[in-house]
Amino acid sequence: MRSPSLLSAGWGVAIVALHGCTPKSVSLDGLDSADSGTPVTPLPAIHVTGGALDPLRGTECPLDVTAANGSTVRLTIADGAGTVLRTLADGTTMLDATSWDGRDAAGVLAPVGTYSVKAELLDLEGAVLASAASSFYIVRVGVIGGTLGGTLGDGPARVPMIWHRGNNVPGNYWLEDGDDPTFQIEAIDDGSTATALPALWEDLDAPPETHVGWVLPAAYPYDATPSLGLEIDGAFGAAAVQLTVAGWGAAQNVAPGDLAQYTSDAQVATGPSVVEQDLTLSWTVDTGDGGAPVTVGTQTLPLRLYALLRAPEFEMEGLPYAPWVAAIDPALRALDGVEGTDDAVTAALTEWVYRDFGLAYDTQYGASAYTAYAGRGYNNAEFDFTGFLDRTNGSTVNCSDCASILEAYADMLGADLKYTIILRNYDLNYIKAIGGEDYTHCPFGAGGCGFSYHAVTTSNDAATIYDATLALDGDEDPGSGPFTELLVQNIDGAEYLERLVMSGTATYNFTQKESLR
Amino acid sequence: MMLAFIQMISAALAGDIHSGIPVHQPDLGEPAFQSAANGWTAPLANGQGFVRVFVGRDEAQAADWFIRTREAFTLRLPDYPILNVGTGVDEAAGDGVGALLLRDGNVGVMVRAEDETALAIAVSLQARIVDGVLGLSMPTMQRVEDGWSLVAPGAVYTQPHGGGNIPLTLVGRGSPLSWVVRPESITVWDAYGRATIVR
Repeated sequence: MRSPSLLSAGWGVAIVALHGCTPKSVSLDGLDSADSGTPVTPLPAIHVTGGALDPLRGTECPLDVTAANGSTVRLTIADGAGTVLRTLADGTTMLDATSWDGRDAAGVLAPVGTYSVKAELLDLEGAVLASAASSFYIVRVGVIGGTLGGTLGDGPARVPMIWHRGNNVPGNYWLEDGDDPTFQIEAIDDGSTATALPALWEDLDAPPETHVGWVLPAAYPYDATPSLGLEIDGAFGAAAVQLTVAGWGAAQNVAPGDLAQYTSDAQVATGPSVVEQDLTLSWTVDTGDGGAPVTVGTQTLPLRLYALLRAPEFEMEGLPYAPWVAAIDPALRALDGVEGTDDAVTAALTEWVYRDFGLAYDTQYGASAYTAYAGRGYNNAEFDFTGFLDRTNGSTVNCSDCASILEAYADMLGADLKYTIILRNYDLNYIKAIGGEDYTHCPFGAGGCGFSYHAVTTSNDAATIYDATLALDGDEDPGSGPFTELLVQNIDGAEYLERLVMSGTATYNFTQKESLR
Repeated sequence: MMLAFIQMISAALAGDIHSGIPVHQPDLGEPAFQSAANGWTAPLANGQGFVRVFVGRDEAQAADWFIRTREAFTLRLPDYPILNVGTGVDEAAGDGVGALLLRDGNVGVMVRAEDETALAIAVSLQARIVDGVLGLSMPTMQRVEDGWSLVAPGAVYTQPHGGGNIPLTLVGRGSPLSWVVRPESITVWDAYGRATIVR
């Protein structure tokens, strides 16, 4: 390979490195960079490395050229027919850098295809001493849609979700099914500008009127492994194009029309939470010269994944029995960091409802603002969750409401709860009702020191109780002060009654699921 | 004379089966339709409470609603003297200050008013009971190209149960009348709060 005869003739050496959009500069100073300090014999040769460019996504592909000893370089781009489209350098001395922006001499974008780049080393009289050529690809790349999926165990992992208020009309439910598109765009570009991937749909109540132009959130059990199917679009010509989704497996060879499947390297989350991340989609082209693939463009896909405890725990099917976006979004943000167990999730929800919802117990009558019973004897509780989310009937509630609220949130997050009714007509020990500041055993004033009934929630037929309506006195004497706040989070059912009831008979009844609207 | 007697008897009998109460009232907020078993609810326009209104097919349904609604109060509501409410009231409970529950034939009204106007609001709503308006002709479901559509002239609100996903293209077109998946049933309300279940 080495030609001492030419070296002795005093010819300089230039290497033209054309390497995608990543500058590769080679400075020839007579030293072998791999063996620094050792004089080597430079070659009177010229090398060109192939490249690729999506002019609508990339900027330009730099071509770094260094020539020595007064040598000059000519650098041209030609189409497949050999017609020179662009001369980037013509006898320039010590050409430090130039680049191709994918346009011809008239500034017109070169169409998708294979081009040749030719580099020539000239002597001082313009004679060609050496030349080299390589292929260069112009491509258009992009995804035109995508669908989140994935499996957990033997079934699909993605959980359908509901937007409950289309056009501000309650009951205008829209169910985003587990295989609905996550995003779509009309086209990857408009001919002159690449289309950015859509923004997240932020409305928690109403769905968009079309999938096009938005990225919809998706819900999973937190321990599921999501997948993402991407619809490949564009025009690649003869280029070998790969798409990589950072953190979602290896690069894949793709072609327009493909549905490329990627699987996340990790489960959705380590516990119930909201996961928001920007996925980086990197498009690369293998130029076939043995070098690393060159990047021709990147896209950013914003994702919001709701990491549930597990699939929802409703007994009824159909609408509206799926997680409501308006419910799980704030709930999961409030639960961030909570352990992924039923008890931990339900306990955290109980405290969240009790402390943070701004609700107050109806200390005049104990009226229910959002719950009604469709059957006699507290059967078939109907919870107006739509109304509650908007607080249409205000923020003054009773135990039926608090049980309904807690059950609805828990079931949507995947923690199974039912309401149960404690009957009937008993006097109370000291309690601190939701929204209250003081302990009392007469929540309705001097004439009202008992409950005709009390609604609470349970996951195990009243063996243990969760109650967001009130806090108990947790010390040894719940019938008098001082008071030790005890939130009702998985308290033994018998102990709960002992702490709640001062006198009278109290028993659990009507343990069942509520219905929602 | 016989005709007048028959008309009087008819009026008396018909008096217990009212058409309902118009669901849109100037002193109430937007109605929220709950279920055929529990009627509709609306906040007071001043934000100081809310009402529940039920229109049954007969008195027995309303009497059942009265019991269930009364039981949902944690503090047992006392009986309220019906003579202090107004004519036509069959039963009443509450104190008439912050809460009042009454039944007039097949119509039930519950008021929870934090501004202590429960009696006035309940009486006012009772006075707005309408008689003699025909109910909806039976709504029907029809197969359409993209799913199912409900034909229900006069309906003011529909609530699907089971299935009933709306087409995304119809989001934002008002109360749903078309669904991709045929609902198992649909509750349809008219302007007087009468609910009809279509299966």
